[in-house]
Amino acid sequence: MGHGMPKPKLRGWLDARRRGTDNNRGRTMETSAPVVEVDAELADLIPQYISNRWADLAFARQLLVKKDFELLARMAHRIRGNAASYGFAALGDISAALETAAEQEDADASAEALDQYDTFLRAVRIEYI
Amino acid sequence: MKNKAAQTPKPHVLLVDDDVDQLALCSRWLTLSGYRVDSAPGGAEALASLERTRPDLVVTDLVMDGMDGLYLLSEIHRRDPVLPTIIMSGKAGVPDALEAAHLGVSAFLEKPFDKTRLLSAVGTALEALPSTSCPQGDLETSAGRLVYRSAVMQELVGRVCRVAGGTSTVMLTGETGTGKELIARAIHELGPRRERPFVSINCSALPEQLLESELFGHEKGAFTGATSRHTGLFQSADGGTLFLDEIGDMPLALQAKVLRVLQDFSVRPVGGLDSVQVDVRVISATHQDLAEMVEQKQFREDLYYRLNVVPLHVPALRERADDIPALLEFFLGRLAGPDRKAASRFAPEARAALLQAPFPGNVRQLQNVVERCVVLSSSKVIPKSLALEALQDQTLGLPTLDEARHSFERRYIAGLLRATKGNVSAAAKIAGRNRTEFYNLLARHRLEPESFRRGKF
Repeated sequence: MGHGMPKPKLRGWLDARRRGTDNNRGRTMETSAPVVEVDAELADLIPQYISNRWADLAFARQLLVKKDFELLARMAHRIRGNAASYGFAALGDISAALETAAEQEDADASAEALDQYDTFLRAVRIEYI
Repeated sequence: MKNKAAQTPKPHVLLVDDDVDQLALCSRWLTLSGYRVDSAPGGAEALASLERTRPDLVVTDLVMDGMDGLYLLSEIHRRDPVLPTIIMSGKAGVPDALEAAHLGVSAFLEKPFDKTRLLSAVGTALEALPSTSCPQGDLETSAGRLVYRSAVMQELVGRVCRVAGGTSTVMLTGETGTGKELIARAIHELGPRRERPFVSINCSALPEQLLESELFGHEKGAFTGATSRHTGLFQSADGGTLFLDEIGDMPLALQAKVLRVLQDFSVRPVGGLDSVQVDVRVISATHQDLAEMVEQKQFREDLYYRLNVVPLHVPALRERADDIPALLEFFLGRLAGPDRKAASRFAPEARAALLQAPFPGNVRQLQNVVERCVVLSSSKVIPKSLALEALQDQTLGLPTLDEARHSFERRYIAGLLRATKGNVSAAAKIAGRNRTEFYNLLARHRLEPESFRRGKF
């Protein structure tokens, strides 16, 4: 039984996205959605989790406009802490990048991380195991 | 786990995190594993929950909006010194197991963690619950007997018994003469370290350099007069307990060094190159308001939190007046001796007078009064007149004028040096003394301006 921690095959998803190709097969990202395996016992928690992440994304974009990097970093820190535990390791990686960018008050890097976050949420497919 | 949980009462876990998703996830993992879970989205809600119910374990986030985990931890320990706790943290560099134990924390979980890691930490924390058995009646220690009947002392002794089984650092507060060292010894002797040393030092009794050498030891030739190697008290207490009495009088420069020991549990003797690992339970005591001293920058805040992991207040005698009759009998019985030739009881009026006396010097003063009565009594029954005389004669441990003057002068000069960051010329000018006179004062009080220049004090 899995325990909701990052699966190795997702680790390189971000890198693959940057390269514009799938991690293993060399296909473009548009045809390769990240697959997250989640324990079936958490199935009813996932819709709320994803909903909360969309809400965070909207709020994070507002924070970036207002250049409230402190709150942005704290939000990213929180998601970094919980994403991998739910099984969304790549989202944890994106959030770590966002946290670092926000701590450095780097608006461009923050915006890029938020775009990746957006892409991930749109593309992710969840398989319950 | 589920089958086992069905047969035995479900352990009760209080989960605290201001991240609702983390809260929901951990709650699900624990519930599915047979635990009864209460969730609190913040420190205030956690404390409210603790008012209603006593969980077997608290698992809390470290960094939260409103009330952070360390503050919550100190509040939890104030209410229940041995309630096991686990801290979750998203920060890297979490403390190691030894440091966690002295902070009264069973484990630190670095986020993100998985289900296995959480369940393992929770299981270990619940298994490690210290014994809470407490001897019936008065507490006997190698330093004397703790006599009590009052509800407030019963509660304190209950806490002492519970805290004795752990490793958490304990802070004893209470007025002079209330028996703080007796409580410290009871904690040591009731716990698993009882076969190891109990080492005690009064931090107000020694000048700074000597206190440093006593605590940490020194190598031969480390300073003038260090003619041989000396093992410090932290090392002498290895495996046991170090009691730091009057911790509020510890010089600031030394506070920083004690803090370092409590952070990594290693000691480097003065003049030495190598650090030595030590496993010491630290119990400190003070009659001063350390929180106020922190506010006034007279005591390091970080050290205060390190020492104050489990705060225990020892009540003044006026707060435990119900104990006075038993204490009178105890001291009288001990002084009368086996042949019972000395005075062995108080006349009813004498007893009544003593029961109404204020005893600002607490149990120590009561003991002195009884001793004086026994010594001066010419009959087996101590009359009221003698009891009143003994009460009147008590100096309450007040210092002589010379002692008081010396103590004030030292504090005053130390205050000047703190204010001027160790600038002797400036300090001397404020004091209205020339530099030579001021240096003589420094020498008399063994104060070193250098130690006020170092650090951030």
